[in-house]
Amino acid sequence: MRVSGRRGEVRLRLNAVEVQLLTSMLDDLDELVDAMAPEDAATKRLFPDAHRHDESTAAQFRALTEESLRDVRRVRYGVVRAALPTAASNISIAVADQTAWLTTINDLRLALGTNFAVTEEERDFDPDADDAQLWLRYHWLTALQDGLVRAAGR
Amino acid sequence: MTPTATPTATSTATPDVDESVQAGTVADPDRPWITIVWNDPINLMSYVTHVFVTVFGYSKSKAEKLMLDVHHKGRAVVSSGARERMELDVETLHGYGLWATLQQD
Repeated sequence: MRVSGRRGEVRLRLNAVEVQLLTSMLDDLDELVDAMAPEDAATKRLFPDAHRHDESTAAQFRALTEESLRDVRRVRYGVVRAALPTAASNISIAVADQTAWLTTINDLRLALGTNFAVTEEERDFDPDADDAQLWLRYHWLTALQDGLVRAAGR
Repeated sequence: MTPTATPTATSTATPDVDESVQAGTVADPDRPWITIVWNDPINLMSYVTHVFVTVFGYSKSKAEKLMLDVHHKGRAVVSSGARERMELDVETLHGYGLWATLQQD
C-alpha cells in the first residue's frame, strides 16, 4: 500500500492481495449494515445512542435517523467498491470521493476494532495469538486510514 | 483515540470522563442544546481533527484543540444551538463514525 496526495487529489496504490482483502472486508461490512443486529457490538458502535441517560429519547432519535444513516453508509461503501480494481492498481480518489473513502475505512476499523476489543494500550503483534489475522487487518486499515487523512490534507 | 498509525507507539493517556454531565430532561427553552463528542480507543486523532474541519468548517487549530479535549478529558462540546440543529450535527457525526450525543446544556 502506498498513499500520496497532491493538490487535493489522493492517489492510492494497492497490490492484488490488498485489493482482495479490502473487498472481502467490505463484504463483511455490507452484511453487518444489512443485518442491523441490535445486540451486535460493532453495529452499536456504528449506530450509537444519541442521548445518554435517556433511553426513550435515544430510541426516538434512532427511529428517525437509522434508515437514512444506513443509506448514507451504503452509498459510501459503494463508492469505495466501485473504485476498487480487480488487480494491483493505482487508484485516484477525487476530492468529492474522499469523505466516502475516509468514512468507509473508518467504519471497517470501528467494526473490526470493536470485535477485537481495541483499547488505548498498544498490543504488540503475536503471530501465535488466536486473533493474529484480525490484528494484522486492523493495523493495515489503520495505516491506510492515516495515509488517507494525511494525503487528503495536502 | 489512537495517536498514530505506528503500531509500536504507546498511548498512555487515560480518559478521564466527567460523569457529572447530565441529560437535560427539564424543558427550559432558554437553555441551548449541545453536541458532545466522546473519546473512544479506535478513531485516529488525525481523522477526528479532519472531521471537525470538514463537518463544522472549524480552523485546523480549533479542530485540533477540540480533538485534544476529547482525547485528554474524555469528551468535548463541539457545537451548540437549537435542538434540531444539534440533532443534525449528531447524525452527521455518527455518519463519520464519531461517538456523539446531544443534550440540553
